Amino acid sequence: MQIEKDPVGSLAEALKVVREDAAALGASDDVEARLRAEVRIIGRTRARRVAVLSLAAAAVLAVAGAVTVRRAVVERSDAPPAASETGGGEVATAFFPLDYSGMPVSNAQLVRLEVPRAALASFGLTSIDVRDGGSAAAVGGTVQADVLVGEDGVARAVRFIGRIGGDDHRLVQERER
Amino acid sequence: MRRGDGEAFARLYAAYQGPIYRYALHTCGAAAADDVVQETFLVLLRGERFDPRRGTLAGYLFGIARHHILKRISAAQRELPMADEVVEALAVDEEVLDGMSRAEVVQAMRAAIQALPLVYREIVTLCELEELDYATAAAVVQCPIGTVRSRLHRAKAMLVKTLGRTGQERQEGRERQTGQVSQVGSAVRAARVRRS
Repeated sequence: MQIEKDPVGSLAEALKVVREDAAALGASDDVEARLRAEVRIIGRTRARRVAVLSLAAAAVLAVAGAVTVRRAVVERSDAPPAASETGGGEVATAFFPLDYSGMPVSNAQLVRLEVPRAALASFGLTSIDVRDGGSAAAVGGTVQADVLVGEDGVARAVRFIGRIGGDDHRLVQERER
Repeated sequence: MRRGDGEAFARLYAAYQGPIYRYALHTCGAAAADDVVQETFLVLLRGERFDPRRGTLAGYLFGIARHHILKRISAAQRELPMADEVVEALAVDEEVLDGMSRAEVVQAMRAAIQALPLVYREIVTLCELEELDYATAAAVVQCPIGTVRSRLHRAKAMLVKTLGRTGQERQEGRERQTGQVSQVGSAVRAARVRRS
């Protein structure tokens, strides 16, 4: 092969010849095979990691959802039960479950009692939630309550009674709002 | 590719394995070239993520390859750059490649490139054989662009000098060969004369 006679040109031409001669050179097939295997391992590992993370995320969401629902349920149960008219010019709260409310009950009886007004606090109620404005008992610091008693004599639930009309009823309604 | 995408890897590998292989081949030899390619791509797969804001992908890959090449070359083998005056003295104009076959040119050039100190060898490989631009080459060897230019100039001067020596040796070899042939011819002629 004849190369240009100019020395700089000769070198440039010679470098071009070397470049062209080496153009097809490359790493062996073994290298490519090993690297492809590595890519497959990375792909599998990543897929496994994504699956684990997805499961973990799903578990976290499920727990968070359960906690939210549980909290909402607890908040609802903590709130004063809605009041309803019982007839006879009375308004009553809903029944509050007592310690043994989970026990099965049959032939239960409703017993009306007068309980200290301070008992309202233990059910999350205040004195304005239930008032017996006209009664003498109210003046004495008591409030009427219906207690659900099973045939075994164990109290299952309790509700508090107020009189319709006057401040008592209005206050109960305001509390509901 | 780092997500295990085989097709993305195949495209990238096809584009860059050749240049990386040849860079390693010219700078540290064929025995290590395969390993350098493999280690370079493994770093790409497992190591620090490539950041396009910090340079080109080619520069990034050649930089990784260079790191592995330098690990394979002991400190003693990393020849120091030559002084300017020495290089200028080497820049002799000679018609060194005149009359060589293509295969002879390739052989002579490869030998000359291998004889260069590493700092020049890698610049010739990057800029002349792999045709990287000066900016990318400067990023790979971690020096200013001006240094790349001056090293390339010196490297070419050294190549001319080395090839000049090669050409001279070839010429002397031819002359010796011609002389031996003529001596043999004379001896044969003398023998014929004696026989007749």
